[in-house]
Amino acid sequence: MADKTTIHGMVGDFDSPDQLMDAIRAARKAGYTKLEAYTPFPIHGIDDAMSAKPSILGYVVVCCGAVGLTIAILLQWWTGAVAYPLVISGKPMFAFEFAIPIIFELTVLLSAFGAVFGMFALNGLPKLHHPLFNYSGAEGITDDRFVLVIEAGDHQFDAAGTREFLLAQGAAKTELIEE
Amino acid sequence: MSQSHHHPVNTDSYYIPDAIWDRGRNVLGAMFLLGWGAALAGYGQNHDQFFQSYLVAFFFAFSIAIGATLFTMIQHLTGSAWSVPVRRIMENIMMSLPVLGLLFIPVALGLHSLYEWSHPEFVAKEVMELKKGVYTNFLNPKMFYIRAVAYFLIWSFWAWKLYSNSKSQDTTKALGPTFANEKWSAPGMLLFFLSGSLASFDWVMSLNPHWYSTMFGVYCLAGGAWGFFALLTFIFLRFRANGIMVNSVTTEHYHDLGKWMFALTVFWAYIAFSQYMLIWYANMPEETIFFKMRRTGSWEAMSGVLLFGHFIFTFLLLLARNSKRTLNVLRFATLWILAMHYTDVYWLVMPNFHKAGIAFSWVDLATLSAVMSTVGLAFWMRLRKAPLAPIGDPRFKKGLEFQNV
Repeated sequence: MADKTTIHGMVGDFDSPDQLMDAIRAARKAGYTKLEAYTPFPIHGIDDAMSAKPSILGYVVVCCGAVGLTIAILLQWWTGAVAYPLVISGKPMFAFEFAIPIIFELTVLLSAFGAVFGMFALNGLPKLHHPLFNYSGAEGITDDRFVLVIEAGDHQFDAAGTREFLLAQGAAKTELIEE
Repeated sequence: MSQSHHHPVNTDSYYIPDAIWDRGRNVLGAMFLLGWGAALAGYGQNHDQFFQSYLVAFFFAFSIAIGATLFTMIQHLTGSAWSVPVRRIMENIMMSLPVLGLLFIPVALGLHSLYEWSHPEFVAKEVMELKKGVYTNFLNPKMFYIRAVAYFLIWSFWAWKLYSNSKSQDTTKALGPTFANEKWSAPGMLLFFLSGSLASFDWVMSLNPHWYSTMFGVYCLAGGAWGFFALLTFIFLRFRANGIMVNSVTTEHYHDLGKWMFALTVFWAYIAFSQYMLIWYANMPEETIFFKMRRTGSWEAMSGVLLFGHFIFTFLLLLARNSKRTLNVLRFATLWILAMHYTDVYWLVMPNFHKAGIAFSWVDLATLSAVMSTVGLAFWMRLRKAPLAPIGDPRFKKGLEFQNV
């Protein structure tokens, strides 16, 4: 690994979702902006508490869907009416009546691609390592621990002060973790 | 798990205040008197027009009621919690079915005015020998009446069973009725789907007895369920404006109701297009006649209104998450959907009678007002007889706290 280790942030390990939520609110109030919470299950309202911005995934999906729609129309029109016109059971070379099933399919297909791969991209997946694995109690997060990390990139971050702050919010344990 | 101090304290009463109840009764009562008065005047003026307009109004109300029943049963079968705060009103709309049994009487009386197949001369002259059996065994007045009575007996019994089970929980808070309703709902889904399809065949598809489509029933039920969710959402928005159940039915619930309206917008279009494409592709005259009639004269414009208004516009309107969570957008959407659903039913029925083009009549409005106010008054009476939500349901609390992730 690198010779010089960099600090990722300060972990605060809480006993309950309620404590975690209170700590998040307090951290936001205290001016911290670079926060991340890790929990064994989704907690309602946590996005609001963290002031997380709504995901842009919906727009990605709409754009992918529109591309699928356009491709499907062009594909069927060009192959059927331009490149290789062939009369099939007396139907027009191109008509929306028969083109719509393919338009529908391609729109759905590309939308689904947009949703899945867009989600991957936005989450930075696949990811081989995450600094949180350096935390000694990381396994607890898949069980019954509720963790708040205040990242070192935060302009208010200072190891001693942030630890003090997290303990004051009732963290059962704190730990400085490396990148 | 949810924390009480983040939620506003729920002080909702699940009973309708007397002043609001009286006001609703007065409005519905006025609609009832005016509607039936005008409808009867319309009957005096032109019997045929009255029966035609009445069938549109009746089928509009019926499709919404059967949509309500199907979706009440789906809530039971899926054990859903989000819908529990709105389920009593679903059940209340479902309970329109027995009333619609009475409202069917004018359709039955108008049999000879509405349905060509009810005349023996028509069957003798217009039906080919091979198909005569269908008319002697199935599509004749006697069988039509028998089927209608059977439908309404089954529907009313099922609706009453689901409703009374749910109501019995209000005081006892027992688990039994929840399981009982699950048991009734499973065969009920099958039964309502089949009988609902058959009823659509009998009452609307047979207006042109030469034409048939096996998807016609699904088409009608899809539109009805769509209209039902719009009506349900509209009722809760009106409740909200009057301070009723404001903390119980939140943006989260409206968001889900909006999702259903959106989903059924697409489902209706999917079914409508499937029916259209198969007929277009096979290109057989006895099938294409349905669309030829609806592309004649000004009917073509109404077909366009359905394509763009029923589907494309509503699709785009409800696509974004925000529009489903913005109550003003949703309020507009509910009214729009109800108008579009009425247009759809009108488009199914009327081209059979006014072949040259659209011919609106004031009797259309009179019969609509008469039918909807009758169903509405019965609905309003039931509102006062039970809490506005199934407060004894084991999932009620969970339903109140529901949030979209």
